Amino acid sequence: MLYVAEGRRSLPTAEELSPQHDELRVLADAVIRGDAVALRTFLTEMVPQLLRVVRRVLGAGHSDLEDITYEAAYATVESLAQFRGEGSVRHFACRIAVLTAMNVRRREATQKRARQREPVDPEELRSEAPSPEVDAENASLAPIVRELMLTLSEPLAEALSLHVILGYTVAEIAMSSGVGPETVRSRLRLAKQALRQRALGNPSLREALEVEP
Amino acid sequence: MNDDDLSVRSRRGGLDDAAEKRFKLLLTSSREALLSHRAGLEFDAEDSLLPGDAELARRITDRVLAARPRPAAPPGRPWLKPTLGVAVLVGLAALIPLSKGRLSERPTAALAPPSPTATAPTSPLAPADAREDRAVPERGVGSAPAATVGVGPSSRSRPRPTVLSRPRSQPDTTALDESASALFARANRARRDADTATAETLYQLLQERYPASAEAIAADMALGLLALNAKRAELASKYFGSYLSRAPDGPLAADALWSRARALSLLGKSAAADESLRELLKRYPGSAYAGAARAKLPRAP
Repeated sequence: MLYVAEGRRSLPTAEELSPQHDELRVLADAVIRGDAVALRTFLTEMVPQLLRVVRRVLGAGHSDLEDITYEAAYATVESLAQFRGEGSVRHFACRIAVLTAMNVRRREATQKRARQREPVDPEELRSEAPSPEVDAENASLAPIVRELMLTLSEPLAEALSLHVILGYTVAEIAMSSGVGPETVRSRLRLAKQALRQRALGNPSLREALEVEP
Repeated sequence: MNDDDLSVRSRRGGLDDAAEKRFKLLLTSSREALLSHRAGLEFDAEDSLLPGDAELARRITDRVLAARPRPAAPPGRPWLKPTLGVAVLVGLAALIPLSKGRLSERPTAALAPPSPTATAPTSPLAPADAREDRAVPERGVGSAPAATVGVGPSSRSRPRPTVLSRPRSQPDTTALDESASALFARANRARRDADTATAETLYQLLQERYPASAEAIAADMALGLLALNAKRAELASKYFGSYLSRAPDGPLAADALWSRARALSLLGKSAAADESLRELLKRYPGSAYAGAARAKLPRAP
């Protein structure tokens, strides 16, 4: 027995993210009450989307996508009781997935620095290719955004991730992050400046983008 | 509509003519807007359902359900009815690998209760200092990757790579009833902890005890990457080849083709390396490795 849930194959639109159109709210409330059937339905609905979010943040070649998506899904269920209706449940869950994946990237970067290894190690090999240098030659910005998330402060990295990686509007980011729209715009401005510096600091990428610095 | 939202609306296909015109002006006048919009389009282009995603999602769902505490039964009313369906589904799913009698397409014991030492993940919404301090959760049962699709027939013999020449460490292998997924999880943890000797031993033990399991197939990739890291390119190439022969359409096939090309390149076998890259581009033109593969292949005269 499952709650009726429509399948999703794309990131939600603004209308679907509005509180008035939150088809998952009733389901989430049942999960909070401890309804096991509702929990399975909720996970069946959300896990595929969380998987895609984690994949976007970490890249398809990351070796631990399953484990990290599991962490994100578990954390989402644990955190449902904290959901206060800002934005939609789906939006809430996707933000948790972004934060979970970002934490993993930061942890991996810390461990890598601590190990002081050469760039070639099993984890690195999976995520190394395509390397930022190679992708710069091919004018690929996604790896640069992923690397930038490690160096930006958490609020800026979160805003950039939700905006660029997941395609959320300022209002959607503000609702899910619990800050005002002006704060979000300020964070995005700083994050985009950092993106510009990082991307255009590479002559090959600058040439490929046909943009004057 | 503010400038930041123009990019988002464009990606969603929701700009009217006036907004579209304004957006084009913005892209020509703002480097930041252009770069962030292009980056967003790249992420949108990457976003697709991959083979094996459905099975992977189902496995993750089962892991979360297994890890969650069972709700208390409401007083005076048995809760068999709402959970019976779940229990039947869980029981049937657990029987699938046993009834098929051939190569398992999913990790065994994935629905077993979590390890007593397992630590449930903490929410990233916890305070930042708590987040930083939290232990890496035990990724116990069911933590095998999505190496479950495209598995070849059981009659296909598995190429035996060269026995590792490095002396083995002696990890705890006394639990003879340890499941394939638990062994695989232990090996992964050892690899992440940079204990490569233990990781190698456990992956090989997994392959000896459960040669037909999905975890054993995935272990070919892990062993290959460890060998490649140790500059043992010949051995690495054999492991990647073993994976591709056993799971030619597996979800790690693109990784295996790319990694095999790297190993062959290290051996000086550039023609074979290029062939592996061409196969990668032919079969997975949209993979994360495609751009790098094209860059490495010699351009046509």
